[in-house]
This record gives sequence, structure tokens and C-alpha cells, in this order.
Amino acid sequence: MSHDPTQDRDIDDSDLFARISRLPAPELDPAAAEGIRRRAGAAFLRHAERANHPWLDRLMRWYRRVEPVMVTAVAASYLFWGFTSAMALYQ
Amino acid sequence: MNRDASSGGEHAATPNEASDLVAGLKAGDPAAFDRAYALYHRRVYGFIARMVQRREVAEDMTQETWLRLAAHAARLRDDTELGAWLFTVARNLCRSYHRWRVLDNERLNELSLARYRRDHTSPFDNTAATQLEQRLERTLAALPPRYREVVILVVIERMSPQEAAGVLGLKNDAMRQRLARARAMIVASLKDMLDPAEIPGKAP
Repeated sequence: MSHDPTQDRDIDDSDLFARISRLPAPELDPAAAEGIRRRAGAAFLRHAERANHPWLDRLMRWYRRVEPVMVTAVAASYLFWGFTSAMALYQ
Repeated sequence: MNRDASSGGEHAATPNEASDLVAGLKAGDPAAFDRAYALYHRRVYGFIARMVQRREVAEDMTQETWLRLAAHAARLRDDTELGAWLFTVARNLCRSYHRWRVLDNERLNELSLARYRRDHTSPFDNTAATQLEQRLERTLAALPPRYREVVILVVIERMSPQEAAGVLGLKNDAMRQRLARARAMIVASLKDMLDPAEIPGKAP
């Protein structure tokens, strides 16, 4: 699949593109490159783990969906219990 | 997709290697991910850096490209051409960035500031050694993104016109037409900037 645009006379017949093709590539800072590799690699492993355990992935998705509802329900029940206890003590 | 060793320091993947790589990625093999990263991260960064012209943004978008590969690796098709896939993701991120940047450019124009203000660290400040290289980089940077991406993929990344058309979502004819227009723009831009004897293509 190698392609040399300078050989493709239909596209270019001067050395303009050849000069552009020889421009030095912008360098990614090695520390940044390593950081990206580490973070993306960790994400890759997380996704691969989920793909190997689809039931766990489904469970986690279900939990993330119901978590706010559960937290709200528990907080509301505690509030209700506190309110009714306080009312009982007051009377 | 091949590239000579001098341009990136990585040796290109053979077709067998490339299909093994995709199979490894689909299977969740961390070694395959590291290999893919070693093969493509410089090229992906180079493409993004030339498209967005800002080092810090290019680093963020390079990371986003690899995070997307991490998220979609298990769903890759067996015949996926990994390089083209990565460039397609990177190109879509660049398009989103340019759409967002339109607001900034409009504000600059309203304030009558320079059309192209280089008040940020460019990834090319240290790499473009000669004056001609710097002029070529600036000319490339001044091209509208839709023309710049064609030049980068075909001329710098040495993709075949078919591959580049696939990445850009264009028909082959449209891609060639866009490349021809980009070339005309580059020549016109260099004519304005340089002595005729120094125009690339006419130099001895």
C-alpha cells in the first residue's frame, strides 16, 4: 500500500510535494507520549476486562443507572424515619 | 499503509502483522495495544499537530484518539485497517476542534488582529530547521483545514489516494481535485512570499 506522491504524475509533477513530504515531523514530548500510552493502556485493559465479562459489564451499567434512585430512596426513608420519630417524641 | 523508516522511526506493519494486531486488540491483548501505539502514535500526533497547530491541544487530541481505540478495540472489524481507523478518528476530532475555533477566529477578525496569530507554542518551532521548511510549514498551516488534511495524508503520510479518500469520506475524484487545489494554493502562497527563483520546483 506504499504510495509515493512524487511518482504520481497525475497528482504532482514538480518537487513541491517532495519537499513537503520531507518536512520534519512534529515531535511528541517523550514524557507526554509515555503518559498517553499509560492512560490509554489502562483504559484498554479496563474495556478488555469488561468485554471478557459481559455480565459484569451489564451489572455495572445497571448499577450506575439505579444508583441515584437508590441513594435518593435511602436518603428519603431516613428523612421520613427521622421526621416521624421527632413527631412521636414531640407528641 | 506504509511509511519509510526515516520519517517516523517505526517500521511499518506488514499485512499479516496488521491483521494480527487487530486480532490482538479485539482479544484485549495489552501487547497488541502497545505495539499499535508504538507503530502509530508519532504519525497520529504529527497529523493532529499539523491540523490544530497547538502543541497542548494536539497532545490532548492524541490521547483522546487512543482512548477511543481502547474503548472500541473489542468491536473492530477483522478487516479494519488500523492506521486508517486512527486517522479517521483523529480527523473527526480535528473537525470538531476547528468548528469550535471558528468563534475564536471571528473574534480575532473583529478586533482587526493578525489573520494568523502565533502567540502559542507551535510544535514546529524547533523542528523546521531551514527557512524554506519554515515557510512550507507556515504555508501548510495557512491552508484551510479541508485542503491541509488532504496534503498531510497523501503527501506527508504517503497514503494512497484511495486510502486518504476513505479516511476523509470523499470520492477519489473529489479527493484528487481537492489535492490539486491545495497544490495551487501552496504555489500561489509561496509566489507571494518568495523570490521566483526560490519557489520550490523551480529551484535547482
